[in-house]
Amino acid sequence: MKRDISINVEHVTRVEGHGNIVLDVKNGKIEKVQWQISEAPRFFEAMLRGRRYDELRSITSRICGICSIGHSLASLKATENALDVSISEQTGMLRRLAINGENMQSHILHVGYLVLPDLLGVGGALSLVGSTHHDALLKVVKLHRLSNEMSDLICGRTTHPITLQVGGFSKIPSKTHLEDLKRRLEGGLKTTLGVAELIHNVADNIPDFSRETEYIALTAKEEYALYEGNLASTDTGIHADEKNYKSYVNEYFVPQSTALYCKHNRESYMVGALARFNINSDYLSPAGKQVAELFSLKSINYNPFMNNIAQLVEFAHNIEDSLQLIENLLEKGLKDEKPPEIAMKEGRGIGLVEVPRGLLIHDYSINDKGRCVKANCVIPTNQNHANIQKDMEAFVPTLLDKSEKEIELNLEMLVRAYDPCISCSTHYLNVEFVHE
Amino acid sequence: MMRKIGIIGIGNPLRSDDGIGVLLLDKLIERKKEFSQYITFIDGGTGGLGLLPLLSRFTTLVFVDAVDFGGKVAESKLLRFEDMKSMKTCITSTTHESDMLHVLLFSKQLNMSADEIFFYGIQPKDTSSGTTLSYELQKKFDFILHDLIRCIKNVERG
Repeated sequence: MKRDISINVEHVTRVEGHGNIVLDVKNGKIEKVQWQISEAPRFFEAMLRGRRYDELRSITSRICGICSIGHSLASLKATENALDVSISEQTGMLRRLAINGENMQSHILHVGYLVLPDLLGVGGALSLVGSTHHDALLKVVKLHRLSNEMSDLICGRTTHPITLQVGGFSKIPSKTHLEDLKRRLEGGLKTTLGVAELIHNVADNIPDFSRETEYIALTAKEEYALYEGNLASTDTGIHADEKNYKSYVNEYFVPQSTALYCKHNRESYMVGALARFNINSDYLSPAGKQVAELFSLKSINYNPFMNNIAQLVEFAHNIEDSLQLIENLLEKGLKDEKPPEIAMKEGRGIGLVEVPRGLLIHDYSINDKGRCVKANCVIPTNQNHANIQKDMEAFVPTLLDKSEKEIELNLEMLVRAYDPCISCSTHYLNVEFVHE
Repeated sequence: MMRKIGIIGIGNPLRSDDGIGVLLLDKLIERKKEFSQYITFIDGGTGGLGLLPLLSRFTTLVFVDAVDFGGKVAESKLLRFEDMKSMKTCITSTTHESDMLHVLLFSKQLNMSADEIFFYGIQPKDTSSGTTLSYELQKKFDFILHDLIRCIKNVERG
């Protein structure tokens, strides 16, 4: 049926930016499909210029309320690389615990509160209260609480960490606290598998849409890379020279967006949980693999909606990986390590980490007084914008026989699948239809 | 049940006046000894929905945040959560409204929230990118802090 469709989804958010969906179809012909970003420039890089090396982490931890641990770690790695500061094995393990905690916090929040309502066909998490899914919601809250308290224990706060420092930690958790966390994570793993079963029961509602694209994530030899690794692409393989990361992310401007877009080997690429899964699934823990098998998720999967399942897979992996890290820490014995001596020198450092939404890069140049003279931060959501646009262009033609309401919901679900750094995607629902 | 009071600073110090909740919280932490042991100070930053599990730890919550209530710049007031709902037409928003008001409603529905919830709101002037408060908020900062301490002590006394 040839008809006109005009959809304009406007979203005004507070911190992470503004994203709009615009679709114009005239007489059955698609005239315009756009994922528009109207994010106001935030000038983080300018805020870092002139600041002391030991202030950079706390400033960048405020870039995002959800990825504040990831920003802290990317910042610390960039600073430490610039100043040639080494960290101890214990610090490395505690930082891996921190990044697991953040991944868990973010993934359960997204899958449990924002995606699950879509799969259950209700308007939002609030609709689950008192419904037949109330118990499932309580399980999600329980896992969320566990993830928050883990971050609190390792990083000193649930969000915007304070114990992470250049070269180490200002305070480490006690043996008793780690033993208690271990017991709780063991219980959390069982709950996670229960939540995975529930989501599996409604997995038929995940749209069956695939588009071949490139995936980029960190990769490492012996672990599912989150804290450390080399840049890798499903198209071009491993890229060990991190100082040339700009040739990998290739940021560029587009007229419809105030945020930068990125491309590498194709016109777009994707970062995030699905990219990590596609590149590193061999290194998942047994529980991570179990959840992937439950959903028949195999590498390489080209369905962007499966990013949410990859998040669930990672949640199970993060718990098991944390259990292993805690065991190792306890076995080696916790040491009250003194922070290393830091000599001021001129240098440039790059910090690469995987945060919940994908690859995060901080690049600092520091002068011989220890002050930052240049900074560049490449944020995962910006790397995904072009891929969201290309997905929309491919997805819309498959939706044209649906009602405007269904088209709108599907497009919003597509955006939500990427878990863009817009603090509450359920607030995406400020919708305006304009009929010709 | 023993009363447990959580004071949560909300906002982003990289967005000028939006960060006043967090900046005031830092000052409260410096003066922690002046308050009873039942009060906990938390930097909620821009945690939004991520703060949900935290809310059930307390019997009383006081959020400190930049709130656009149509007042004069740097004017501050203590509002009850219930009043904020009923005053929807006159309260344009807190700068984190879509997070915190939604999160609070959600937590109440789940029976995972404090019995009493207050917002200590400060009328912002500028919430664009920047690491300093507007001149007006800087000028009144000490006055606001003093008033906030008085309000917290009143809440503590019940």
